[in-house]
Amino acid sequence: MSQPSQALQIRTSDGIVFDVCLEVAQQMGLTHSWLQSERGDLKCSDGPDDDANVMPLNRVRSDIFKLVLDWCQAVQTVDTPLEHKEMLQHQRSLFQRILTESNATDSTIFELIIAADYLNIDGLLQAGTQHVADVINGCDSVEAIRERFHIMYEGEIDE
Amino acid sequence: MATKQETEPRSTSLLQLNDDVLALIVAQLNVYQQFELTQLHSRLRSIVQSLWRTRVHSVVLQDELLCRASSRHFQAFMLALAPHLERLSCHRLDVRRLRMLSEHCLPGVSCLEWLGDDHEPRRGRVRFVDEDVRLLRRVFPSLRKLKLRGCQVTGKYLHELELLNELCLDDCQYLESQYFRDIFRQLKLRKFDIMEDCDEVNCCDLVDVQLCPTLEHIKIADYHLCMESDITQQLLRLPRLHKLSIYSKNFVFDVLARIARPSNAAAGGIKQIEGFRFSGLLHDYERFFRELSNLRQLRRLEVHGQSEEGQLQCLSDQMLCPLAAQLPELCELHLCGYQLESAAGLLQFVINCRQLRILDVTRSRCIGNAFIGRCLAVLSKQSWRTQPLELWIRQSDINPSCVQNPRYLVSDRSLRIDTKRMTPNIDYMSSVLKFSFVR
Repeated sequence: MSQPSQALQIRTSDGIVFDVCLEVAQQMGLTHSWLQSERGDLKCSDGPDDDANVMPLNRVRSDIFKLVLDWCQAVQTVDTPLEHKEMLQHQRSLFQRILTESNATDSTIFELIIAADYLNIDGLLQAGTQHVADVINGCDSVEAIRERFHIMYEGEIDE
Repeated sequence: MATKQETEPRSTSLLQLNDDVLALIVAQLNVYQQFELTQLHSRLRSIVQSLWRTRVHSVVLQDELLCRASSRHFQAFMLALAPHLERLSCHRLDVRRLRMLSEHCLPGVSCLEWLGDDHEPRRGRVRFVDEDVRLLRRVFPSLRKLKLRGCQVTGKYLHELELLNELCLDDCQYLESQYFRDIFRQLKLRKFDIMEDCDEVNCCDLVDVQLCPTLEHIKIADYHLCMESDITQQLLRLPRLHKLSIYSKNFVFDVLARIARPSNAAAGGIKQIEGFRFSGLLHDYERFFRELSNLRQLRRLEVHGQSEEGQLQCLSDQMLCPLAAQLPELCELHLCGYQLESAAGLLQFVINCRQLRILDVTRSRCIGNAFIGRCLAVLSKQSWRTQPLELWIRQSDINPSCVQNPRYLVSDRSLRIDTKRMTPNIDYMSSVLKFSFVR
């Protein structure tokens, strides 16, 4: 008889609860720390009403967290260890795929980067910041950067 | 990523990211792009400045980096970098960019590389000339290290760079011998590199090198040794000389004979050679080792072979055994990338060189377990040995059981096998004889 897989319940800021398997959860530095400090030995999820087993994510919405989970699950499927450069390239492609599949807007991208920073997922943060750097690199003037990223002139009144 | 503004909420801005994340983004841009960001917002300026405090001590400039920089923006960019900049490397940069700085001063820059076009100048390109050396003096008053490559300088104003202590002239084919007198007399050079002058016909006469007693490291080509006169003795009499590197493709034995067998070695002032390194192809190793055997005080010997038509060059026991007998002070022996006849030649070094502590045979063939067994037998009889011999050998050349099986009695007291130092040192330039002198 197989053991039930261990899972962690994570509740996002909009109240949605996700069941996240332990291997995926441990990719997130924040959950890893939470497991160490709040839970001690991980117990299997006892049910939806067991709040002690639910990790709160007060700064991440469910739509963004879904993208984070997409990322973590895709990273986990890489079997063979990659050289550092290959890993970076793979992560960039993966990030691009997630953006394309979700029709991500700038707002989504920035929130995904903020979530990666908050959750302490180095690979996702690296891929996200590289993506933005690439977009800046594609702008052909300072004004083009300002327009692209809606950077107001300082002192300008936002109507 | 959506590109149409009408689909975006107006509040979506790069600045909604926190400073740490913005710093990560900025760090992935080139230095000129970072400068452009400083013009957008004070927060970005603050982040860039914070990054620059530790990350722009050394900057590489290329035309591609500055393709959209106007003259005014370029000057503003360099002045913004100035407080942090210590080392500047200009790779095939249009010299007109440098001349835009003629009214400015970058006092923090102590090291400058100007790497021009190597052989084929780009069409319409303006070249770096003597007047640009004078500009360097004004713009970089604290310059201590200078490398010029592919420039049209004669050397006329180099002596005006008063603080210079390292000078490298690479592929500067317009140099004139007459100006080297002032260079050697007025500059307190510690390092002088003209090895890649690459013009055997019109190369410079360095007869006045003796006027620079501060020289510690010299890199020249073989034709510099004997232009109008032989300067070998002058070189060997320089009081602080520690390293002499001589590029020689076709006259290796002649160079060795001049350096290793100086005609007035009995006279005072000739330096003792403690280290020698060579990497390249030779066709008479017997003669090579015969010349090396004159270096009786040698403590470090490195010889790196190269393959010829896919085959390693061979070293016979007959070549190695006499050499082992002539170098009693040897502490380090590196014989890398050769096909050895047998282990007998190497064993002679273990037997005769009582100071030997490193034996490096990486990339050489025909070593293996038999050598280790015989080596241990020799070492076990050397009761005077206080330190183990380190054997650097490729892991694939020995049976792992050799280092694990106690039957082989590999003990740290006698022999320490190191299979980690495997990198063939690609930094060694081929056909260079490098002599190190006792300080």
